[in-house]
Amino acid sequence: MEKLFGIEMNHLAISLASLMVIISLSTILLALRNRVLLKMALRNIPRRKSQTILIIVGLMLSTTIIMSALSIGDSINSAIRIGSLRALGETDIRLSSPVFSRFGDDYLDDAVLDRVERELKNDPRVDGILPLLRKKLPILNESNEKTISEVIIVGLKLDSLDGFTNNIFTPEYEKSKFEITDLDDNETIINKSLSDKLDLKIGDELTIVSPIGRTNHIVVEIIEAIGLAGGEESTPSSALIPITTAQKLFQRGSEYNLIEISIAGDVVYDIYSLDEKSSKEVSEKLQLIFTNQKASEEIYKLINSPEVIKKLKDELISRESNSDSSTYIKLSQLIDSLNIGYVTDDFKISITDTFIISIVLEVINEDLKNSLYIQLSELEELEVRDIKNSAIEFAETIASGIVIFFTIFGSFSIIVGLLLIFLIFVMLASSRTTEMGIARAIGTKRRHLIQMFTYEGLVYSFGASIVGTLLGLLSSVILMQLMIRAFSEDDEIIFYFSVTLQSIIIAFSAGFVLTALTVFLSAYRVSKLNIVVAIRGLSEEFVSEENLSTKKRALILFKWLFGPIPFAYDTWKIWRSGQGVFIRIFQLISLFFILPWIIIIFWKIFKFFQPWFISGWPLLPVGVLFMILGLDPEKGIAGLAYDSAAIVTLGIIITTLSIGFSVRAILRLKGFREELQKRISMTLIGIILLIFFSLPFDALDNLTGELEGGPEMFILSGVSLVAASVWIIMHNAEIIVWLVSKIIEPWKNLKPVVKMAIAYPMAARLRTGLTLAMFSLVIFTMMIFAILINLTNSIQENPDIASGGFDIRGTIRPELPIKDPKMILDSIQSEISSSDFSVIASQASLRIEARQQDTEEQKIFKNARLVGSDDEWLNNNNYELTHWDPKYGSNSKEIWESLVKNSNLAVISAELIWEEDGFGPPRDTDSLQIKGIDPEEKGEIKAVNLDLRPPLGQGDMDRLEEVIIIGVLDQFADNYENSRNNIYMNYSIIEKISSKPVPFTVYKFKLSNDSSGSEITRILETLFINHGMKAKYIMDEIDQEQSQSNAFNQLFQGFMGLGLLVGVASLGVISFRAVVERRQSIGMMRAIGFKERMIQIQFLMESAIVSIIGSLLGIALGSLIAWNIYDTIGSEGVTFSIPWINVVIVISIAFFFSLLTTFLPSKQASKISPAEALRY
Amino acid sequence: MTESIITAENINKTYRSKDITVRALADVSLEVTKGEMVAVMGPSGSGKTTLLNCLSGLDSIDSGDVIISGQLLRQMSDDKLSEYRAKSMGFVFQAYNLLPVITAQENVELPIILAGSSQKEARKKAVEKLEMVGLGDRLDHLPAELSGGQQQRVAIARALSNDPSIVWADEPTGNLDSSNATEIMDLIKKLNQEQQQTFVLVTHSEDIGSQTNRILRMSDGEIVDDGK
Repeated sequence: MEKLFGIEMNHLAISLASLMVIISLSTILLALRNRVLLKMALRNIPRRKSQTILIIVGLMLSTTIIMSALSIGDSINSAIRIGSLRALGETDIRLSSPVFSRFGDDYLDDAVLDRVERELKNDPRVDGILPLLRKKLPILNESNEKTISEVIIVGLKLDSLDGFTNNIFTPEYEKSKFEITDLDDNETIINKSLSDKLDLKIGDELTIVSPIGRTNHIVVEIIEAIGLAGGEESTPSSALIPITTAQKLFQRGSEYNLIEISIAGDVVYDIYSLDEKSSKEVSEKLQLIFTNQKASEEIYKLINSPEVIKKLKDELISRESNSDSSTYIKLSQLIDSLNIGYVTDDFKISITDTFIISIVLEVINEDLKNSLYIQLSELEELEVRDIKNSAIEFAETIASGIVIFFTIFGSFSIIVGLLLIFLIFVMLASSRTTEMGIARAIGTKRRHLIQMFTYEGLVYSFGASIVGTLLGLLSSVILMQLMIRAFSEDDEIIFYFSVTLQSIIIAFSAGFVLTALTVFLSAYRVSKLNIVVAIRGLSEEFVSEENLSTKKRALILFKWLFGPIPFAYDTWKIWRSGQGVFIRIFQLISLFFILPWIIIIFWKIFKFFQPWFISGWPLLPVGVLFMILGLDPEKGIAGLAYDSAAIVTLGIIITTLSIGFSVRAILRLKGFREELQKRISMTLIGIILLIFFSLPFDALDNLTGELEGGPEMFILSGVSLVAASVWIIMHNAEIIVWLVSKIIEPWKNLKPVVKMAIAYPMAARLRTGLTLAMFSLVIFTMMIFAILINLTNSIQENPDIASGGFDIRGTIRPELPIKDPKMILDSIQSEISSSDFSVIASQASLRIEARQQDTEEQKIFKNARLVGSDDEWLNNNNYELTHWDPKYGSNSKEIWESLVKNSNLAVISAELIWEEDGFGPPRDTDSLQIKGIDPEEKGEIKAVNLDLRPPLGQGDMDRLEEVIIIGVLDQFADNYENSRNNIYMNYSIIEKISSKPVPFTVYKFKLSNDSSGSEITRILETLFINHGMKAKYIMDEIDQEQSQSNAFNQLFQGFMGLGLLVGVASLGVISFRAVVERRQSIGMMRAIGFKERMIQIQFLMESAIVSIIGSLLGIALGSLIAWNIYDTIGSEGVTFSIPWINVVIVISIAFFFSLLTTFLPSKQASKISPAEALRY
Repeated sequence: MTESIITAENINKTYRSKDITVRALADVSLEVTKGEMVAVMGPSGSGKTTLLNCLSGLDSIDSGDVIISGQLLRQMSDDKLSEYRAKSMGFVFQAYNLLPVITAQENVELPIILAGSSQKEARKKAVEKLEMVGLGDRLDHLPAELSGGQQQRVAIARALSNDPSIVWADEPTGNLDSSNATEIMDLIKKLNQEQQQTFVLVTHSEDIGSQTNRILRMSDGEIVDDGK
């Protein structure tokens, strides 16, 4: 991958690695200055091997998760990338008629080819120019009656193959003596996919069905499906023939439809080359060459007026929120060139963009418009597509999308992993409190303790990063096997494991840096230790921070504000007194890195105000201020509303704390016991936050306006929700203690065991709370995902949602149209006739441009696809509508019927409704988005009016057709169409809009009895072979898609399983530590009569209590959030249900493994000999 | 008065670490009668604590037999032994060894519950014992919140909680100042006289030794003077 979260992977890798190096180097430098500390810190590592291993296992998990997310992303990227590179082979740039991409029947002649060749003749970056006639046609093998409805027929100009044949014969076929340039008119070279499907061998004859009828061709060679014979994603079969033959088949004189250009490549992927930069440069060069200079100048003159420039600038401003879109960039380039005063290259490139043109057309008057149309038709002589780069970009988008998705969900596990690191260090510290207290007592400084802990921690971090990275690689190899297996039958994409060096560097250094930071934080906390408390072995609960006077705090703040100056003075003083000054100077220098200094300042400001904040009310204005600042501009104060969910949430948290602290202060005044003050106020805080974070995502929109918030909000609210619940539980643990003791009442023997099993976790609440939070967070995430997976499964339960009641969909070649499908069915002798079908409906589609009436920001025409259906389709589909205008009908059926009567009425796909960005991928900004219909507010709507017009070259762009949208389809409807930006209308509207005929290309069949759908589908392809029908049995399609999406879900579940590992590991680590820590107590318990088994049960019970409460919390909160997500994105036909079987399985696994990891330490504990344990 | 409650016959115990073998107990035989208060004395490393651990069943022996109240320890399973400890033995250690996470009262309650009493009964008895050692006002304190002398008194209350027939005390005053030590010894003596419980004390202090009925002297794992 190249980018992640919008940051170049290279930069990410370099900055993380440098951060790691800086941390390591500065630590090493520090350590070398004071080797005694280093020695003291490191002596524990080799001495206690099992502890070291345990710590490394605990520390590595975050790294493991990061590494596997990245390498899964790499694998997917690489699979898609190699897939498209295989298909493109040597082709880097593809040239076509400017009208080609819109309708597909415009051709290039020799004059164009000559010009291209002339322009690129001396360009060293180009090593091949190949004109092609490339079209899809049906092919059959008459000897065995096997057929394929779509094969890519490539007509090659045999004398222009230089630069394209490098990989056409792969090693397997090299022994063949065949020269491609010897290909005769009636001969063909086919790819492996075609030979497999039709059982063709060298020497066999195949039959191509073309507009001139059937022709036979002899197979002279079979080659690998790559490059020129690479086919396409959905059409892998391909046959190569001489261009002259192809021109005859398609009835084109000496014309081509594509000119492919090969760039002499330098970056090599597998066996395919890619030179991104040259490819881009040559594309732009060609784009400029084939933009008509005269037309550009005329257009420049037409639109170069202050009035137009001003309007364009307004347009630009209105699009600022989307400033990295190519439309925005080109528009600003256009304005810049208009200001310069002559036609620049940027100008030419921007006006060849259809969206820029539609913007321009919007802002000019009618007279200008007509002149502009004339010039526009002359402007572009050739369409230039930088095709290989776009394919790579596409792979990139998909893969980084997946990684982001993984990272968002994985971040819960990463957070849990970091908590575990913190926990491990807290425990490590508490096992050494006495030792450290003594060290402090004999004069070790606080920072020495931090240093010692950090040294030790960094060595662990380093080890953990290595092990974590390796383990992450291993687990992603295993997880990718799921994908490889699920897609092994699929022609379109082959998955395999792959990882880049950058990813490894990122995972390793991110793991290291995160771990190091956590270690540092924990060390800082440890150093706060009160000497007396530490020596006497009091629990952490007794430690309270000393309160400094206001003056002292102010002094500290002042000192830090002027930061380096007093620090430098102190350093000078130390140096004068002859003490070691090296570390001070080093710290002084590091202060000049502005960032740490700023962070410290903020921290000190907070510390200055902290005593007041604790009393509650002073926090209130701060909280309210944040809430107001975060509001949507519509609701907040103009200029001070930053429209951010994160800021509002922060404000709410602060306000809640303020309320809680104030309540506590009041209770104190009223003379309540301290314990009760704390419990009431803290529970209140927990409950308010719990309620806030469990509200539906848009619950407060009425108050705050719709706020901007990305995936970070999902993570923040998930973590906060769990934290709030754990907070409540930990402050009311007595209730749970009471509950547990009630439950075990009947088992008298267990009483002392339970007492101890509860006493220990209760004595270390921080530790217990953290563990509980970790475990619940893990279950919480798994729960959300289990429910979300279940949502999508509902299509399988009710396929009509997706199919509309049709069983088979047949797509034909537009150049081989069908006059009457029933006639063909009945005229040809075969196993089926028209009576096997209860409905045969037809549809045609046309790319159009559309804009919504009566909306300010949508004056611009945008892309959509018009689907014109015959009456059969309109009357017989069962598609359900989510929204409809009651004026035109009271149910879905009536709405569809009204489309039959009135050709200006329309129903649209759910995807066309404008929606605030949710979890899905970002929407294409150039596609039509209808405003004024709330996707969540299902039911009756008021009709919306649109203006439609044909695209350039397809008809009169000036004549607008008014269309009324009266309904919206369910989002899963027509799920298996290519495009989902559909406007469904009566077929007759297409004839009104398009100047060229648009034939029916999609046929939909309902079977009279649906017993043998798959078989009939196959027969249909053969029957309609003359029209190249590609037929799909929709049930099969649904099954296939389901099994692939299941594979993806499994991949994801496996990935989430890593998180479960962290949760389980945390319980294990805690138990292991507990055994060490409590040796003496265990000895004592044995002395007073605890049996071996009782000790063991006690340990198991401690884990069990945490994992049971954690699981219950996770299930409850996870279901709640899943419901909120469902509530936001769900639609008709999708039902919310909790997959209890899955949940029970997951929870049982978690429970089983957490007991298993505790089993070993508990066994160990029970085997402790009391005499031995008591000896020290 | 001549009924023997603890009998040891030729017990041997050897500790082995990597390359050193220490013979901690060498053919030790002894007898303690019911209600006796015996002090085990000797220089550091002479095997006092080992003897106490072996006699009380906390540690295993290599050979020989220990008979407590007529029962052969060797024949008791770990579970039986644990039960026996809960019901009939009490332990007091130099480092008090209270369970740090539960209160004084709960520390005393625990052995009572272990011996099978109900929660209510246990509470009543624990309060009684703590009052007896003079800590009736410290019931809800955690061990860390008590002074050393107080902690040791809690430990004694715990040792006595099931009215055991034998109380084992390993340097019970070792961590205490002289006034606290005197108080603890007075308490022990009082209990011994009033409740007729057998006490086996390991101590360094001649002063404490002199307050007992009998002094057993050990050296290099052997009893050099059985005090009879």
